[in-house]
Amino acid sequence: MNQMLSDVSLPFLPEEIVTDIFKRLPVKSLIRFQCVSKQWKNLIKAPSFVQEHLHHHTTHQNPSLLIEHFRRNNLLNLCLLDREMQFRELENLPSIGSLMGVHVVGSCHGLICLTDYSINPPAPLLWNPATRDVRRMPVTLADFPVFGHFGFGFSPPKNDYKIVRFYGTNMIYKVEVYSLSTGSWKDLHFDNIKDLSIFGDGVTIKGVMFWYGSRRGAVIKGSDVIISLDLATEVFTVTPSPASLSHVGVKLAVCEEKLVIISRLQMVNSQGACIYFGVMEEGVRGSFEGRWSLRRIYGYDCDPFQLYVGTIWMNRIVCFAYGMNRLIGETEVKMENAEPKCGLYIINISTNERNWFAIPGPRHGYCASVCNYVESLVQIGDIQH
Amino acid sequence: MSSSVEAITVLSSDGDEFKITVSAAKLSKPLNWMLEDVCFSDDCDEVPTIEVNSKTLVKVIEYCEKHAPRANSGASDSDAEELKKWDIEFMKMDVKDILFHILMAANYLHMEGLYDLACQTAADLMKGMTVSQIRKIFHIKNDFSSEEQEQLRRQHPGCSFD
Repeated sequence: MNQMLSDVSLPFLPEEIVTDIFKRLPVKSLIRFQCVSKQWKNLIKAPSFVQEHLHHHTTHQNPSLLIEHFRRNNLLNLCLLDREMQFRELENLPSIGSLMGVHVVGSCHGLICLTDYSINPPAPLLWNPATRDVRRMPVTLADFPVFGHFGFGFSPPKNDYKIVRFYGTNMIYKVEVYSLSTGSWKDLHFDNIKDLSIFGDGVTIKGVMFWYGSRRGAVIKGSDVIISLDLATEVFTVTPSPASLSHVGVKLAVCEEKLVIISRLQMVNSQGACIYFGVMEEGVRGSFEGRWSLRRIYGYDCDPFQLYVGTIWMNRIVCFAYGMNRLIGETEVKMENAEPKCGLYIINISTNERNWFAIPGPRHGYCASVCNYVESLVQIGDIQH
Repeated sequence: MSSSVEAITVLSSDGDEFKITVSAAKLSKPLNWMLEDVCFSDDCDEVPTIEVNSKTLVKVIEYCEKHAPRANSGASDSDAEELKKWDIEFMKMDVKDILFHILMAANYLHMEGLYDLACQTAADLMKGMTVSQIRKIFHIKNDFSSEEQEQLRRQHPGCSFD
């Protein structure tokens, strides 16, 4: 490689061109090239370049799929599936002591929000695996035991990253938001959502965070809601959901910058499992139903009772599949012990193409969560313990 | 400009003459402006000069001629796929020793497609290189003091200045 370029007289490239090459480089190379010269280091560290690099990678490259596994030891366990459908281990997990009880909330701009459930209240931390930056959010004190849900996202008008923490699952006692720019927690008004139950962590689209919820105790049609929080104004809004918690594993996801609901219907017919897929259309006024374009996708070749929806990735629905014979393919030897083997069932929304992926390695256990991930140079500051 | 003109002659910075078809020249805004400004009638012998050396200009024109039909008429997906393969081959040839010249030329001639392709090729070549390989290629001297190197090493364990 060296010989290809070095034996000729090369023109001096202006910084503008160097920048355009740099923004196409992986973070790993850029971290290394900081040591080339002061000029290169300043260029790579400049906030404007970090943004340009992020913009290029989010618009020109498909994200990877970040997969978290629950295993018996309860240690954080992550791998990535890239756009070429290659799995790789996520190396250099954050060095923050024990990773017991630490789980993924979500990812945005190359930052992964994790939560440490071994602490009460569960304490979030932010981690950039590409730059190895990690920062623990300040611990707050709670006088009652809590187990709640989270959300992590970016607020464009304020150019700020925010983490939202709910106290309580069946009833909300308290809601806090952490702003990365102020570095502190703040209580949010939540009167209009206090009687709701929340299911799962939030997803963020264009500065608005969404959670799935229901009116407490009611598992009847029409009791499901979608809770949204505008990260700039910090005001909650509640709208009815087209799905129902009688579905199995309702998940919110993002597809082409729109909110998507995915779930598996309990109903099974001769066509196999049925996945429910709804897209919230923007700017559609009128009836509530009119806002959602709904589809049913049938899984022809899988046992429906072992399938759970995960997220949307590269215009595909990602599902977890457990313990199926199908997963014992070429990549697997055989099912050892009684623990279920977890794999992914991926359905292309536009072509309807379906694929099975057995996650390689000794990974017996449940798939806990999946989310989209793009590597970036975005800085979160130095380690704070 | 007469509509009968199908190709124009341009001079490289080395003074060599090159022919480029009108449709291919349209891929570059500055070349397009030249087409409009320069007189191409028979009794006008002014030949425009392009500030790109001959070796590079050959490649730039080759790229333009290949991409012109698609750029001017639009193309099917299979054409786009074929063109993508051609681009990869085009960049694989002896282009590596003139890659930086192509980058400069594509930038100067406002050729977005070629510029993106050349930037990506440069990035793909660079990404696996060591710091000393990079310094050699870009003619850059290590200007960090030993204290600064130590500080960088603390921030990024395992980083190397060689």
